[in-house]
Amino acid sequence: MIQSWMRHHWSALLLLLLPLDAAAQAPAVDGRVAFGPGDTPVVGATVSVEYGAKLRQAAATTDGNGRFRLDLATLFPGYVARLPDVTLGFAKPDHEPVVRILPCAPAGDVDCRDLLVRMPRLAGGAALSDGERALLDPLRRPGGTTIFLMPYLIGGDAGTGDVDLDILAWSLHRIINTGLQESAFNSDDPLLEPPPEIGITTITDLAVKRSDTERLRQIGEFVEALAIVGGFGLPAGTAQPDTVRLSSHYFVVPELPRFRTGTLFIDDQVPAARLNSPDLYEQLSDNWALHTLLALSIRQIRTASAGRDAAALRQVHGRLVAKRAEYGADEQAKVRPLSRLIAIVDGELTRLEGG
Amino acid sequence: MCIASHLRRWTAAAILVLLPWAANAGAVITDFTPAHEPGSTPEALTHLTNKALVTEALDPGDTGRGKAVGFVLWRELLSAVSDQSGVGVILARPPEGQRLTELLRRDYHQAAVQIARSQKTWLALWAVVEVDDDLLFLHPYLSLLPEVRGAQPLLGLYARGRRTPLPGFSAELSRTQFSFRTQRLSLRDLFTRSVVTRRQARLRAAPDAGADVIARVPAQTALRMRDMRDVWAEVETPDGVRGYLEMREDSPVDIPPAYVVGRKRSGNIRAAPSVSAARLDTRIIDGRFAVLDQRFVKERGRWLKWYRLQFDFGPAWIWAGLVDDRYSLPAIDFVAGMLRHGLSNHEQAAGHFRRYIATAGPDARNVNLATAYQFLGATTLVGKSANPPEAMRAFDRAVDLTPYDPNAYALRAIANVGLTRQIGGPLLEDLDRALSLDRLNPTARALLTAVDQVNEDVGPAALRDAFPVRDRAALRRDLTDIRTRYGLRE
Repeated sequence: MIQSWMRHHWSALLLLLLPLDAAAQAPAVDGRVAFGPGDTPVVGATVSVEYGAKLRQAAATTDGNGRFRLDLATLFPGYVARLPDVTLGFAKPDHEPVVRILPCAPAGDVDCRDLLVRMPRLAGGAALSDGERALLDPLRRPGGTTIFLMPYLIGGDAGTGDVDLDILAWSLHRIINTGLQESAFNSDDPLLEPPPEIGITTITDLAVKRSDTERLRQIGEFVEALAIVGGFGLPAGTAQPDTVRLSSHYFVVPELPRFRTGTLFIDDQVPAARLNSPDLYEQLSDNWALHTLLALSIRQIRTASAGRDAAALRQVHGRLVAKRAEYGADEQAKVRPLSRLIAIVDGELTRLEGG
Repeated sequence: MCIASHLRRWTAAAILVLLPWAANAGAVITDFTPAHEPGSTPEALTHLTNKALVTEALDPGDTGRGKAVGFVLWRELLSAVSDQSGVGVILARPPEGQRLTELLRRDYHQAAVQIARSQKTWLALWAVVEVDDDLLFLHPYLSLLPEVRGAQPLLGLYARGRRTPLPGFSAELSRTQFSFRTQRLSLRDLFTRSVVTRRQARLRAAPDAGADVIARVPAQTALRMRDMRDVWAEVETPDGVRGYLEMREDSPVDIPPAYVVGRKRSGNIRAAPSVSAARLDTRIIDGRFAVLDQRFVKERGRWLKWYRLQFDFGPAWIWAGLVDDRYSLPAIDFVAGMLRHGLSNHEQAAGHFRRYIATAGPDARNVNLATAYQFLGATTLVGKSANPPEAMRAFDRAVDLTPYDPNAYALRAIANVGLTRQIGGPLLEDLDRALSLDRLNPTARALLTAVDQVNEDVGPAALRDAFPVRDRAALRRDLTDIRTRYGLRE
């Protein structure tokens, strides 16, 4: 009886099961890690992956060609996160850490295959020339509360800037400054002071390849930038000719000896005709605000520690704790750098105040 | 910062006070108060202490939608608290010819706080609007001023007959600045809706105060709004005349919610807005309905609000108490709940927070949802319809949503002590967790000190008498462990 029923309903069951299986299947993520203008492979970099509330440290290591592959269905069997973001972390001692956020699993719309991850080498690249220094000198912003915005190059390094920088700069200013204000005032500490205003300055005439991340860092340090923001886009592929695959990057310039934020890349796919839609920066907003808080905190920790200024460290502590308090259990990628920085501030406070 | 100089140029605040229906036939009193001298902005609604402010939306693309969005949000918030006496909502607009963008574009929350402080409002709702084809992207923000709200904590334990909470056993609202997820609305979603004339309204041929008047619409007429740009709404009368209405602070129209949702209760559907009108049907009111018209009617000594809704058999009237209003932004319920909580209207405040939680959507920010749950917990712990299990579930949910927030644990600890009158395991666990996240957290440290005082039988008498302690030696040991763990001195 059962066999007969199964014969009759086998095809229907199959039809039902197939889409369920396809919907639940988390994707594979693969690509290669490289550095420098020639895209030299980074061999032996560890790759961690976070998906929702799940984390796998050192889930893969890049091979002799800098290649890696992660199968999320194997790493997180049966798990489907609330949001499609997959966060990859790349680390190697002589390279800057890189974080890449890809909304690809399984409800996301970004292709996570054949990624190119650029991982700058520490202290790499040639020094800035006198000509470059002369060009950059007017842009220097002592005090380090300025973010520099470079054009998004659509079509890669040889592409054109089709993203309106004025709109983007205004949106960045709003997102970052409201985010900082919320961290400053959403705290039990009544003594928290307003954060400094973060300025956004656009750099449009600097001939530097987006892929030359070592160069970008040198520029950032010279102009005393808090961060350098930019991006590039390539056609998503022949299957989606009117879609651009955008990768936005956020270089945090300040560093601490025990804390290097590195570079955040956020990928997205946007219809070519909607490159200036608010959709673009909405996807980026919380990460930009968070990384600005991290960058500003690093700078303030350095200054406060050098000046033995416990009150200033408490300000930093309050903002970091308030920011961390916003996040859920499935936002580990955001919580972890905050927790590490809070621990550094607490250690400094203990050192200064004697417990 | 140049907030002060901006504020000096801030000369116009449009004001609308909604009195309880019983006092004023459900109508509104409007007042327009320009600044009388440079450098000052007169405080509006001085007789009220529980006020909110809505600003014209920032419009960086100069699309003309900023004023329109601000106006609709202002009216929706008024509608949300229309039955609450003692509440005022102020619409803040810059002087003619100036864009609010100039005022807020550099200072955001800080500017909103300054404007709100000048008007002694404790909430300021503001937004940024961007337009992409026929899509509106609305980025809503909320800035709070707890000091204007007064000394009322979010949650506190009180000794019998006392007006101030037991020392250490109270938690203030620690978050004061919120950003909400961007709302993508079609222009039609926001601006295609019914508006109802409160008094005679003049329709003009063009969106210009000097344009010809093409019709005079009598009071109590439902008009179909087609669009709105700046202060001009394009409307259509029931007999098909299209024209433009000026939507200023003294605008002659009410803006009911665009939609309502049935409360799944049985109710009468009537032919007219009156309990004595012919009954067309009696049924469970469930589902979502477009609002076609709205009336306030005084019957049997009470003012009742009625909606004309589109049913399957055609338009008909229903008492508004059978449905929940749906606003353009979930943030409207968030703000309305806070306003009602400020007046200890716990039951209706809880309703707003439940609705915010239900409508905020899957990508709502954890921190906003957690705050709504904390308010829901605080409002369901007290009052005639107190529901302690629901309150504790709400505090638990806030902890689940924001497990790195020390205040979420401190708040739950206080609620737990208040309900159980026990100083023991759950309190100490939450206290420990709060201090592990932030050993400097003032609420957790004050609570730790208070528990110490209870245990050592020192401090205020009210505190000493509040809680029985079974095993003082064990509690002393636990408290010492916590202090040692986080480097806190006695």
